[in-house]
Amino acid sequence: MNIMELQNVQYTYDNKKKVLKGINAQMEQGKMYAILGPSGCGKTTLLSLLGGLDSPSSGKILYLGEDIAKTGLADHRRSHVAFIFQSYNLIDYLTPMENVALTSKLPSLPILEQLGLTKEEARRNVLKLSGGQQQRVAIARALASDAQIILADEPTGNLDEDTAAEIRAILKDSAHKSGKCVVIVTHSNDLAKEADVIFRLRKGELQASDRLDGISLKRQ
Amino acid sequence: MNLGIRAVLYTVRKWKKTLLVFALLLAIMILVLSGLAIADAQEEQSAELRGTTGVSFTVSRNTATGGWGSGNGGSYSTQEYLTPDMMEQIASVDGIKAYNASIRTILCLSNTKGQWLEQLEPTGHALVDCQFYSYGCFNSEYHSLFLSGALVLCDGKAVDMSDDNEIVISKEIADKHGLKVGDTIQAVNTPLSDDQTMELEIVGVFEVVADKTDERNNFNEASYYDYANNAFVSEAAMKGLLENYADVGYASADFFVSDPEQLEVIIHQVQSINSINWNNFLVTANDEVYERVSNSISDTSTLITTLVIITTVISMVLIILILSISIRSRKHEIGILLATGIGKTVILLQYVLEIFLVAIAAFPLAYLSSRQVARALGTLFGKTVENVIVTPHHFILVSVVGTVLLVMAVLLSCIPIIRFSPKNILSQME
Amino acid sequence: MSLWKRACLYSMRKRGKTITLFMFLLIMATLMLICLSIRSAAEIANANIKKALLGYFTVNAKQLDSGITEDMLGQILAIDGLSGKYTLRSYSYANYFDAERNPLEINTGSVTQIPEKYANAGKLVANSNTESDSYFIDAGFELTEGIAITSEQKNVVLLHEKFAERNGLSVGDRMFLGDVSDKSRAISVQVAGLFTNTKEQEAMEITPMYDLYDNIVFTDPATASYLLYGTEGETSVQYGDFYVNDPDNLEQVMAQVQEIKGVEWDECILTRYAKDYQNAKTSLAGLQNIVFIAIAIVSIISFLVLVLFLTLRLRGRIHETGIYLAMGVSKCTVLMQYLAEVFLVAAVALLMSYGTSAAISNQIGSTLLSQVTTDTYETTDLTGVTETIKETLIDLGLSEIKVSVSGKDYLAIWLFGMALCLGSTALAAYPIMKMKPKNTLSQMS
Repeated sequence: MNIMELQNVQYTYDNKKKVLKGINAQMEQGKMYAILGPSGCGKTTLLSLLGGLDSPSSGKILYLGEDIAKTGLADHRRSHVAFIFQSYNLIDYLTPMENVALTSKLPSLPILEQLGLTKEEARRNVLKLSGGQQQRVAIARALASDAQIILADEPTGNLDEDTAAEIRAILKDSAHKSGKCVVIVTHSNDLAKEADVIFRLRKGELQASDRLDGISLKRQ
Repeated sequence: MNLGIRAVLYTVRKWKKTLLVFALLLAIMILVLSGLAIADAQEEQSAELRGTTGVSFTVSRNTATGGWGSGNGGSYSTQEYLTPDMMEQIASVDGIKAYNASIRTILCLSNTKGQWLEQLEPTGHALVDCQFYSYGCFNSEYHSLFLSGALVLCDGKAVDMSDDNEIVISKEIADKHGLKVGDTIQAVNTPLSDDQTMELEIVGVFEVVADKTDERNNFNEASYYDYANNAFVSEAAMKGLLENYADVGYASADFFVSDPEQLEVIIHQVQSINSINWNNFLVTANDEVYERVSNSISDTSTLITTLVIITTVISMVLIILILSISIRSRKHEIGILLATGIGKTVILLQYVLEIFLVAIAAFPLAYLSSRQVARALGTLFGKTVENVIVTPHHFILVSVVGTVLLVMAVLLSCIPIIRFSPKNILSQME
Repeated sequence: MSLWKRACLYSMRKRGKTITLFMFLLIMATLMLICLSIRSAAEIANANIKKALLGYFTVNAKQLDSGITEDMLGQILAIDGLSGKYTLRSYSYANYFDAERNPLEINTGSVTQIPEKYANAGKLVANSNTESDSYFIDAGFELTEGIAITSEQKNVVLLHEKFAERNGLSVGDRMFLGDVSDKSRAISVQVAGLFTNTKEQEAMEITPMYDLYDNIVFTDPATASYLLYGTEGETSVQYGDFYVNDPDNLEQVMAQVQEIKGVEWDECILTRYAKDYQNAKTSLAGLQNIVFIAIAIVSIISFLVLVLFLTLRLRGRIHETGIYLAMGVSKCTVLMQYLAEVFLVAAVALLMSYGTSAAISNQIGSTLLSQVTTDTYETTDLTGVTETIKETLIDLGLSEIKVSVSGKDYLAIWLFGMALCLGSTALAAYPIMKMKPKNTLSQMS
């Protein structure tokens, strides 16, 4: 069954500019989705619609077949989705462990260790961690929550190539091993390559393809 | 994760920020607490100042409603006199701190060997030169000559209501005859009559300050005696000295009140004493000095009170301003917390809790330090301010009001956050 | 980009922050200005209390041949510290004659032996304001008809109603006063009013008949001056009571009086009267100390709050500092920019604080303080029993209390405010400036 489904979702900005023009898509658990597209094409808007931060001008967004507008956006945000940001967005007065504990009642150390942080790092001031480590904490925070959907906005945008590769692997594992539905908004083809499904957002329309093909790469 | 833990963690980890907010709260609390203490002290001090204006009322016999008799000195009133009983009744009214009444007579004074004591400037006639103009007083401290400052007690004490036979004489006379406090002298109203001669103990000696030669003071019969030739004897002694003169009594009595503002009320209470026939007595208020200064005193009070009120109001505004700044600087954090699915109410509660944590430390410390502030400042500038004291009462008042204010301030400064729409979270984040 | 431009841009773009800072500075400046204006007002109120307690000294010049002359009076009144309120008095005896120079009848009481030359004489009391004479204040005399005598009037008298009745005189009638010595001076006077005594005279058989209440006549100082000194057109008096503004200065003013040349001060007696002030002195000083402490606490804590606030504000800009330092802008320039921002806002706030504090001060002055212009006070007899309610308005010459911001205070606040902004910004910036650019950057994220 599809965990998320978009039915003819439209979004008009300021009643004038149509950002999304009737988008239809389905997303499943255990898969990683990438949404590609040029800057300002509405990727982040789509992500915030998926995360229940905003509601579409028309159309429906279904979670497990139910319209999230009806079950409540706040409830959707609280129980179904978790965000990962480009700038990590950790609470700076909490340690990595405490940041993870924000969303989960489970012990947070195992998750952090699983993501490659040492015990000492897990207790350090988050501002004294490297970018990759901070992003790992942010992912750990998302994974530790009960949310089945992880929404990531350019998660590797601030990271060097090696670290970005590690983060890609972790996100992929989140989908394939932990069974989460991971939706990533990105510019990065490297990241998109790892995805099970790639959506291209162009001129307000979404085109799905199973894999990233050579032609489209050239077009990029 | 528990909001309480988050609040504690924020307070501890962001200790520099916390410390600043703490210091601000502390300073403002000290300001308000000291303000309250100052307002109270001011009230007390103003009351004390009003009290020093010596406000009194006089009860005197009403010669207009009494009969008149005539004697060799002209006509005289046959109106009833004030009795010690009546005075005691009047004095028992709340708010009266002292009273005095006096009987005047001319006494002849002698030493214990029976030798007459001479006046300051004798005329040469022994029986005239031993005459002293004397007042039988309930409390000579409140005799008008002492109150006006014409005479000042320089040794010993005033004659008061004790049953002892006491006398206060002038320093000039004491020096002239080698007398001092503790000595005994003799007094008689009319020598060579059957009036009794009494032994009186000198309990006090007074100095003459006023210029007796100023004819302003010559408006009654006492004028014919130099101030140095005045004497004050206790009421008990006077009773004995004048036992043969039944028609002598107290024509008037002065009652001194502690708080001039109560004068009117007290006079009304006095006039409702039924056992006294008020048709025979007049009551006059003597509050001239008070009337002169009361406006200026209340102006001073108003100024201080206004300053305290303004300061308190401004303090409230400052607290709201500071809290709203410190919360506004945490917009980013609010976004993250909202994105992780933590509710607005919980975030709000966390902030309230954080402020409480700071306040719990700041309030008692402010209490303790404000108790020292006034004194420390006073010593620093050489001003004594004994009565500026922060009481537990102030502390409770400020704590309760302060707590309510803090909660309100947090809620108020959180208005932008409450209105913060989730839609903005992502844009806020990047 | 110059630091001034950056400062202006910051102030305009970060409008919320600038407005908060502005509000804060405005409130603090207003508070301090009000504080200062209240201090000045409290000083006036204090001076008024001191003045109203009526400290004065009496010059007894009875022994001088010419008494207190107008010239001497002028010199005394020119001394600093006198409130301008004074009373002039003379006492003498006079023979009383009717308009046809026939002797008037006095009350001889029980006295059998009438002194020579006093058969028609009585005590003559001259006062620059008879209402304040001790007979009226202390002996209970009351005016029953006509008006009280002041020094503005010439050749007028007040008679006891019994004396007037005995001699068939009434208000407006004329009579003669003659001196009792051998100088045979006489002066024509008009009856301005009648008085009576409300208390009986305590005779005790020793009062000379010319001192009997019935036989006392009140007159103006000029008339008494003629009878006593033979002056015409000029007035000399025996006694003068001079009131001072501040009873604390009484001794000093008296010392100055005694330095006036051409007067035999050895023959004069100067007496100080400040009993009411002496009584109130300690309490008054206590009240003043409280005013002082109130002002001191408010000022000091305001400064403290201001410093803390500016520190708190600057701490939020570590990140920005890091960026500037990374860009190669010198620490000094960064600090100058922050200072420029605060100064910009402070200047506007200080300008506006004049308006706000003046408005609030006006309110305090006009609505809260005593509205009697504090020049006069009213004495009302509280007891209905006496049935005569007397209302006396006496000019105390008190200063009106103005709660206003003086130019001096305003200037002080400008200087102090700017210095404070400079000091606290520098102080708050110190830890940031001490940081190495590297650390600043790590603090950035």
